[in-house]
Amino acid sequence: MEFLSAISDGQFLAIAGAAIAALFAGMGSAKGTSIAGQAAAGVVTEDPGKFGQLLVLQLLPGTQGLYGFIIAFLILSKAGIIGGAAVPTAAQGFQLLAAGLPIGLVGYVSGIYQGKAAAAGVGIVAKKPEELGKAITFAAIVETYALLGLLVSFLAYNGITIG
Amino acid sequence: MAIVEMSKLSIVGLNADKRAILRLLMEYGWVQIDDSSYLLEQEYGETLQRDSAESEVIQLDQKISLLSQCLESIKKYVTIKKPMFAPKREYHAIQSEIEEDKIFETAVKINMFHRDLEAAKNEENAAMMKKEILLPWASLDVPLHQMETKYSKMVLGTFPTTMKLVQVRPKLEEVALESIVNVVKSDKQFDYCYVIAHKEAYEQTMELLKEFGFVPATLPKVEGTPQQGIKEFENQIEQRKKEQAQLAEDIKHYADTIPELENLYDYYMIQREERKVHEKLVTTQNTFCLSGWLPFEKAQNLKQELESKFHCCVETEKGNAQEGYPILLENNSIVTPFESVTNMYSCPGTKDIDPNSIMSIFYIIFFGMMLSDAGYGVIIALACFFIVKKGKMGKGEGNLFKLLGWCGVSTVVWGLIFGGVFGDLIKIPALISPLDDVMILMGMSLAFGIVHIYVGLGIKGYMLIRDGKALDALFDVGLWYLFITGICLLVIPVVAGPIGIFGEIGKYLAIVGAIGLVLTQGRSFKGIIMKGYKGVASLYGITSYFADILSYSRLMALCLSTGVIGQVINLLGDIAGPIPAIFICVIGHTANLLINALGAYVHTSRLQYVEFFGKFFEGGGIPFSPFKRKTKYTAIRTEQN
Repeated sequence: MEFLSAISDGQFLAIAGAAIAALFAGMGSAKGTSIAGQAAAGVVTEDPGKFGQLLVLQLLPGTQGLYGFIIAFLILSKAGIIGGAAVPTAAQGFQLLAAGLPIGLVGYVSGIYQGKAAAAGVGIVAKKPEELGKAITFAAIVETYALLGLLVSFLAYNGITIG
Repeated sequence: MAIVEMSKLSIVGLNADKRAILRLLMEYGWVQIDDSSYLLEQEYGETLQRDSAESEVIQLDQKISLLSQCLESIKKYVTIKKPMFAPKREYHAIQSEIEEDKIFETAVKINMFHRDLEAAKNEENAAMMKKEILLPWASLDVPLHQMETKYSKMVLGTFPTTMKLVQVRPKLEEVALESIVNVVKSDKQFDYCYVIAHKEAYEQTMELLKEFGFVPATLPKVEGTPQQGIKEFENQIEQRKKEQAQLAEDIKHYADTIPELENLYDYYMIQREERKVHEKLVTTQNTFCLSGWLPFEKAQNLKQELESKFHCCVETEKGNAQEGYPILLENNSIVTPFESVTNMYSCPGTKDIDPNSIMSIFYIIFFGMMLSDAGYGVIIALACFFIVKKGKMGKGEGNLFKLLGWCGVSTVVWGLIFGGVFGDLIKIPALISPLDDVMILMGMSLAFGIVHIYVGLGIKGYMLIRDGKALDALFDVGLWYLFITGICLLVIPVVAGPIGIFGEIGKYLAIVGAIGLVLTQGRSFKGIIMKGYKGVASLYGITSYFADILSYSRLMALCLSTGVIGQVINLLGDIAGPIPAIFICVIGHTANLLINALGAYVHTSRLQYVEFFGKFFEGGGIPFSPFKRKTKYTAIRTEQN
């Protein structure tokens, strides 16, 4: 019984929601930046002068992690874990948990795929450095969906009232 | 504010005047010279030949590479105290050959010093290596040039340490009793040994030892013992080092000539450009023909000037937008930097409208809204305008800094609206708080989207009317205005509560728009069924408009992201206490500024490229590339004429 009440504790559920947001989005970004970074490193061995341009491309899939972090932070502060706000009930805890899902899951997948798009963009920059803008645009299209995930998470979070 | 109209230019002149004419055009710097070799394929082509000044170009290439080598080597030894972002020096044309030769001689001299220096460095390395080889044998007191006596012979070499001499010696005794093997020194990998054998048993000894992994050492030639050799090489190294220092000192004496060398480099670059362009001309024995483009308004003056100064025939003909001409954009000094944003997508074509002035307004607004922190905005604006001022960057230079400078100003404004100064470090009352007035922020973002898209559609409509297709403008733009507006008015009450009479108006707008679209969108197809089908199917296009409008929600998302991360940084600083807080805030806000400025730049550009340009922009123009003096180290400042 103690176990059951522990996992239906509002604060625990909120932490779980924050963890999902930060965990998966962070994992997606880690993987995405790594994919882009590996491709960039290959180009830099040939032409170290392109480092600056390629760094921009590598950074692009890094934003999902930040979005996940934002939602995680907001959830933690609303659930009274950061700062001393009111403690959520079990139902509100589940709501916060659900609010963490969109950015967590979309962040994970879009981070990886944006990394692949950025890695392909590295190929553009390797041959035609002046076309960096186009390479960035291709990768940025993928990010749209992470942004939408962030918005849904945020709107859901914003609609939950505790207390 | 627009795409500059171009005239096609053809000049036929005497070969005697060719250089003078080219020089004049180059100094003006607003004539593009095209390849005229297509004339060779015309019916009279046989009388023509391609012009060239290849030998001169090659000569200049050699001089340029010599100079660039010289500049590279001198800059290695001289640290130049140059203030950051200092403007480039003024270019001055070299007047006499004596002046040119004098500077060139200097460059040759510097290159000689540099070559000697490199040679000394190589010799030093070689001596160093020889010394390294001798080091293990240092304790051997046998002169290396006397390794033989009448009956015996001595060899130096190595065994791998895995091979113990205790194992070797018994075998050696079997083959050649009088041979000796002894270790001089050991390290991790090798035992360094000497072997003395009777000359008669030498071959057998060596064969046996090689089976055990013995490798004779290849030693540098030395008179005397290894110790003496090491001494000698050390002396050599010392000597070479001194030489290098002396030569570096010699090179440093020429530090003051760097500006002149750079100027000469640019002088040669210009000369080369001038010779290189010959390849685009065609000539007969006594005349040449040149063709190209220049801005329409300058055509008449140039024609008069050339025809009065030289014996030549100049023809200009106004370019035709349908056939296309090279694209030169003319905008005011605020809009000019934004041309680079458009050009990154595609250079406008002759049928396009220069979108830059309208685009730049939205660009500045959107960037500011995404970054939305007054503190960050102040930093960006001050830094960028400082760099532009310090570098005395004229029109067309430092575009990125100017662009970011204006975006920074907009960021300050939006930061004040949203109450963000370094997150919540400095608390100011917010007109709209992103975290509380969520629906207002969302509504604002989408409203900006609708305006942006409507403007894009409006430009498309304008272009259609300009081309005399007023009906197309009405059908393809006007009806969509009605339909989108109607649908928006129908959607708003569902999301945000009642809006009174407007909902009713929306219903009728949507119905009128939809009927209009169904009736007109299939007009280019044959047959009543296809027309009807295409018309109905076109209504599906509303989804893409809605996707476009929703895409502007990124304005809100990025605005939130800057603000929340800023607040988190400040909170972490609060938790850590006052002194670590300074570090946390400085590092954290710098990182947040950089990442979010990058995000704002990327996503603002995307909104322009995909949502805005997609509505009307054709692109695909070829940028105007005038024949002018191009320099690397110096700047040519001319009055705009």
